[in-house]
Amino acid sequence: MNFKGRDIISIRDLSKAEILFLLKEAEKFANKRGEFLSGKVLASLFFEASTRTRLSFESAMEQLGGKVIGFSDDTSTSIKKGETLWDTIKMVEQYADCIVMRNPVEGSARLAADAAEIPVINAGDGANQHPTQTLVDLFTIKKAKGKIDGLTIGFVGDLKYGRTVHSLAVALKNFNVKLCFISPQSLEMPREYLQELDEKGIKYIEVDKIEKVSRELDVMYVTRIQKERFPDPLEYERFKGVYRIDRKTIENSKKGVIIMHPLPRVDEIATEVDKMPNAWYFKQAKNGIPIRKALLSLVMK
Amino acid sequence: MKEQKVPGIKDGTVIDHIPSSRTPKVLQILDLANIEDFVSIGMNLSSTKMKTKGIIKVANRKLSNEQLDKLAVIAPGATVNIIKDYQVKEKFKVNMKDRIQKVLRCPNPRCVTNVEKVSTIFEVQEKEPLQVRCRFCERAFGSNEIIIV
Repeated sequence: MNFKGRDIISIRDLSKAEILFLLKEAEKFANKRGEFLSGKVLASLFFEASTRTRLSFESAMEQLGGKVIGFSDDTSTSIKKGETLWDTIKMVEQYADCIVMRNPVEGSARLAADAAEIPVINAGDGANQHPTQTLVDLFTIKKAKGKIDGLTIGFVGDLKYGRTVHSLAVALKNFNVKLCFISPQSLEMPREYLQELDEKGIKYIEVDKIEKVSRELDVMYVTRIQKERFPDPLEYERFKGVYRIDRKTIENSKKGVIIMHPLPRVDEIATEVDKMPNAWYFKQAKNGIPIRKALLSLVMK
Repeated sequence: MKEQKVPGIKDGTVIDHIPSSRTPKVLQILDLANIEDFVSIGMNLSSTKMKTKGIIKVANRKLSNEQLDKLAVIAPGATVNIIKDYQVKEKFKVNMKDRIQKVLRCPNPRCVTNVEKVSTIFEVQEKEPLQVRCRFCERAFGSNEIIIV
């Protein structure tokens, strides 16, 4: 499978075979260091602050011997002077071998890829896509469970606005999985994503309490419920406890369930869970490196 | 002789089988309200194929490809007749492509196509009822949401 020169913009662009290939490559890259990308330059364009994603891309590049140029917020760029994104990308590609971009405007990554001859990797375009995070999530599930097909995966919390949830659900359409969406009614999974699952014949259920499905879940993907999503602060207080994972939740769940979270967490997962073997969220964050090393190498070499 | 419901034209274009209520929209979208050539409009005409239909006849004009694309979006199933010397020279059904370029605006205000200068592209996912997905922000829209430029 050849990824050289390819843009990584949306999880929708990747087939099941390609996803599995990337997960396998990431495994190979997990402990790889050295001069693999020596002489190559990555332009890291963050028009919006992001610690985790930016640092993991930059670390991945450095671990493979490459160099990084770029910016970590948009205060110092010519965009402020009115330059179009197209022109910015056209200029940057003269200085680099690959572009990683985070930009709050939805669809901006696709536009950047249209503009650039060199490969563009989307590190998040607003509420739309964040494909490398989704690959990290899939990689984590595969590592923890040894497979993806056949699993029952639950999403907990804010499913309405959670980009990582939408993107992972879209990716899981390619697999033989059962999905559970666990959220208050006001934050439930948007119709359009459920419709996509229906079209693919993916089985799913929607419930409002974890207890209703916890005996069946192999994976619990927990997201942060943001206070500002609720018009009534009382409603927030009511919900936040219901979707909190603690030792007891796990003891009442299927044996071997893994807990994932895209981080940062607030208090959706009690810290007492951190030491349990079920806690996979920090490993999930660590898995950002192998996936990004694999992607950077494949698109540049 | 067949009854003429809308007066004929010597040369030009006849757009037939427009869903009747969409007829004014077709005029507006194709910008036919502000031209000097002869235009005749019929609405709520009986049709064997559909319950009621609209017909628009425009003298001395051919529709551009872009106009045909727009027509396919608002009036799927419409037929276009090219008239020369009172004869139908060519007749075809409007054809919805798998990709609609330029003619729609993305309803998502946070989409890059509404922020930067860039032509829109929508992938057609469902033709009837129309469902499209923006190639940029990847949101899906139904026919009640789409905005024709």
